[in-house]
Amino acid sequence: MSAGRRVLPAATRTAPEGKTRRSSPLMAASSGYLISLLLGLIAIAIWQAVADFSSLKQWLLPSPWEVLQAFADSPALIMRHAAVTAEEALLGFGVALAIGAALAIAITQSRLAERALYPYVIASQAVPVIAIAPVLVVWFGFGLLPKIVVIVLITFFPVTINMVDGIRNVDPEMMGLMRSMGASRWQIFRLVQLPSAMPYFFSGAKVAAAVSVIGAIFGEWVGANEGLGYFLKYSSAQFLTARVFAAILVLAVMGLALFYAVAFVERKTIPWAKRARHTASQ
Amino acid sequence: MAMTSMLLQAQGITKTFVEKAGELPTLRNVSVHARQGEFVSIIGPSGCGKSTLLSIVAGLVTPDEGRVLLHGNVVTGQAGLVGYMPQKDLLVPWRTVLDNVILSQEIAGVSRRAARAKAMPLIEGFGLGGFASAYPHTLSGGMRQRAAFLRTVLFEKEVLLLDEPFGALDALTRSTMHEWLLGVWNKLSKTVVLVTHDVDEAILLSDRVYVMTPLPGQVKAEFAITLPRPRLYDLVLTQDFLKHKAALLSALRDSVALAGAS
Ligand SMILES: Nc1ncnc2c1ncn2[C@@H]1O[C@H](COP(=O)(O)OP(=O)(O)OP(=O)(O)O)[C@@H](O)[C@H]1O
Ligand SMILES: [Mg+2]
Repeated sequence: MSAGRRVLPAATRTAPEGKTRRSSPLMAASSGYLISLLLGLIAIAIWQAVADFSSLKQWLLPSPWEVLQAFADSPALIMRHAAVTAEEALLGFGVALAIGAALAIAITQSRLAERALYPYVIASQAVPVIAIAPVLVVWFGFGLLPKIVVIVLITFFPVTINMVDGIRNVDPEMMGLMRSMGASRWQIFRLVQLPSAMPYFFSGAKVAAAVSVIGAIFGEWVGANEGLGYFLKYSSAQFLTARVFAAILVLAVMGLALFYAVAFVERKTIPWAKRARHTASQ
Repeated sequence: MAMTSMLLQAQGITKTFVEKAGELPTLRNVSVHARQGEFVSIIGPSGCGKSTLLSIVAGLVTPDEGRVLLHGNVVTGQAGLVGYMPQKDLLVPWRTVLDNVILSQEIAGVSRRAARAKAMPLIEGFGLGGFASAYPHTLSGGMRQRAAFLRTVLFEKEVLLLDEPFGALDALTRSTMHEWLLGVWNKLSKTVVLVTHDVDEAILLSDRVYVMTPLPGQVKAEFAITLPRPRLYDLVLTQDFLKHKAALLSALRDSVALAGAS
């Protein structure tokens, strides 16, 4: 009997998928990537054509082929600098997640913390990081620290803001239900507020992941002797534009990788979010 | 003796919500009670303050005047003493059905393992057999309500406050749920206060029914439902049932007309 009943949820679960299967989700997904690839190839072809047929000098507009050559000329050099930047970006991102989440929890759990901290959280986003980065170097030296500070400064914000929204978005009636079952504030936080805020946390984390690479470059631009930011700066000063583009490509790949890594962790840790959204939107 | 059997009392409850737009007198001097093992319904038009009354009894909202007594002790504003099933099922999407229904057990400090072991045998009886490890979004509306009901039962309090548990269901599912509830209630031996605006539901399930007026909500009438137990769903077709229904409906109509006139 229980086996017979089990058929029902399975059937309801496949219903929405069945709908998309008619238009073949696999084909739709792969054709999406195909289009993306095609767009890239077209852009590269146009770029190559313009570079070949225009009178612009190579240091003004290197062709894709020359960019590739610039990378091939010194892959070890570029990857060494890229590794430094990746380390900074990852560390900064990690610290930003921790600080961002901690701030969100403080702001939502304590009225006092909200009043005391929230204005500064928002005001921090008006700080022109470019302008204060040199000062940070003076304060913290050429090492890792000023880079981490810059990255955290520009990436904790989406994490905090999203997570605050997520925690506040809990149905007040759910809070009432928890209280009616005798839940303490800590239990309400742990059993309801935190899990419901997780999808929001990941939204913020994805924004932070994509931006953290730029943060690392900012930090390196003003004071470093290694990293892609440093490499970009001196390459452009020497008009090695092909190299600049090669470094930018590596940066883009880094940003993509970090973003998809976060998306992957999201799918693994909160698989319910996607399913629930799926049904809610029906 | 009368005092000891009086399990739950709400006395002279008055509540006015103060909003920016002005004051909204919601409940005026409402007194209701339930004896040990009694099934009491509160019926009234939509928006008359029924949910507000229940959340006051559950200790989630403090009344402006009046008090709530449990076993003769004043418990006004104290949450966590009675089982409360809100209007929405409020099952959380990140927990399976089994883990949703043990939420109150976990809050009480029971280990997840022990709580699951306790809930598992009840799953079948609540019409959720085979769905213990399913997620709430795969359940039908009726099953979600039963899961929410089981969660309330597993809080293990003598009193259950049910806020329109079947309000969102279609008529057919609702009647199946009534039949099912009549069956399980016998075994549960709980005291129930049910809020509804369904006359058939109130008569079929209850020992006593309170009729409320539109805002500000007041108790206008009280009916004893003398139909014998155990009851079956066919009861709704009997002459006795229709007599009760006629009386209740006219009281409801009077209470609405009264409010309209004043
Ligand atoms: N927290 C609140 N703040 C302000 N007004 C409220 C609040 N809760 C309820 N009300 C108002 O009190 C009135 C009664 O609401 P309540 O939900 O108790 O009615 P109800 O009888 O349960 O209605 P329904 O049958 O539609 O569920 C409504 O006008 C509602 O807008
Ligand atoms: Mg209500």
